[in-house]
This record gives sequence, C-alpha cells and structure tokens, in this order.
Amino acid sequence: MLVLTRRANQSIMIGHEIVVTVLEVRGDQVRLGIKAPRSIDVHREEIFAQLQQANRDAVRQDADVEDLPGLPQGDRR
Amino acid sequence: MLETDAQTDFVEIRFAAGLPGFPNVHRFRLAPWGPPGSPYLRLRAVDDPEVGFVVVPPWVFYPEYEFDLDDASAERLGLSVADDAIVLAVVTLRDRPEDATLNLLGPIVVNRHTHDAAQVVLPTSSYSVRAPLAVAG
Repeated sequence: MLVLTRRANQSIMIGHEIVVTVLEVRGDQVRLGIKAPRSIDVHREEIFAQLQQANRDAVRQDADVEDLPGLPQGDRR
Repeated sequence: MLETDAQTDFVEIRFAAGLPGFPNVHRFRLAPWGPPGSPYLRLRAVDDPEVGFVVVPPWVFYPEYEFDLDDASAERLGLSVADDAIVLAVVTLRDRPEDATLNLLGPIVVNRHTHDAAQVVLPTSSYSVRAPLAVAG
C-alpha cells in the first residue's frame, strides 16, 4: 500500500484522471472529494465489500424452484 | 418486462463493468423461471456456467421500494426515463426457503431498449443487502 500524508486542500492523483482531495479534517473524520471519469464507480469500501460478498453468497450454478418462498409447493408443471 | 427474442425464451443483457465480485463477467441471459405465474427469473452468465443468479423485481416483496438512480449510472445506462428501466434484485437462497433474502442495497438496473445493465450501489443505508423474502403474516 502506498502511504501519503496530506493536509486539508491537498490532493492525490491516481492515474491520469482520478483526483482525491482532502477537503476538511475535523476530529477523527476526513472529508474527501473525488473526481473520476464517469466510467469509474466510487464507493465507500465497506459498502462495496458488502455487495461483493452478497453476490458471492448468491451465485449458484443450479437452483431449484422449491428452494424459493412464495411459490405454491408441489405446483409444478 | 423485457420482450424475449421470438426464437428464444431469454434476453441477453450486458454488464459493461461486470458485477461486484465478478468484474470480468459481462454477458448474461435473463429468462423467466419457475411455474406459470412465478415472478422469478434466472440470470446466467453466457461465458461461465458457474455464474448464475436468481433475481426478482423487488416490488413483488417490497411494494414500497424506491430509489433515485445516481446521475453517473443513469448516464452510463442511457436512462432518462424511469419506464425505460427494469429493476431486479438478487435473491440469496439459503438452507430453508423461508430464510431466502433479497439484495435491496445493490439492485440490478437494465435499460429495456439497449439491454445495458449494471448493479447499482445505493448510497442510502436504509435498505438491507439481506432483506427477508418471507414476510410473516
């Protein structure tokens, strides 16, 4: 991991187009501004990690309709 | 819902950015699934048979579900009107049918005309990534 120290109003460039700016430092919170091309998503890491995990939990090669709630059991055509 | 090709019973949709956890899987087939009247669909990767999901329109279980699509996602999907979008939530199946959950934090949004799709991360924390399907009643 690359470690840099910044003050408020200083920025970091990632690649040629992504800019991360420290807007404000207050107590134990840092407000960050991110400029990135529209094609790149920017997320809080813990939210993205939740989504990744949820997808991994949900993926399955096969599924049985009987595994699902809300459908009448035994009503198969 | 999307009109399926007359020759097939599925539509092909494209996730330009893949999905979180599956960044390199882009092409999927979406097909209705279950007995007649079933609201469920299967989303299966064209190039990887091990990657498949069960999905369902979230309103089937959460009629009040709503969100604002962020500008970047709307632009990327070419969506300017809500009616052009189809929204699907990923179902996680568990050991017991009544324990199945719905991902309301990361809905799949599809442009019904272009078939471009993305799994959108909602900014709010008011929706759960593991919302129960079985509503006690």
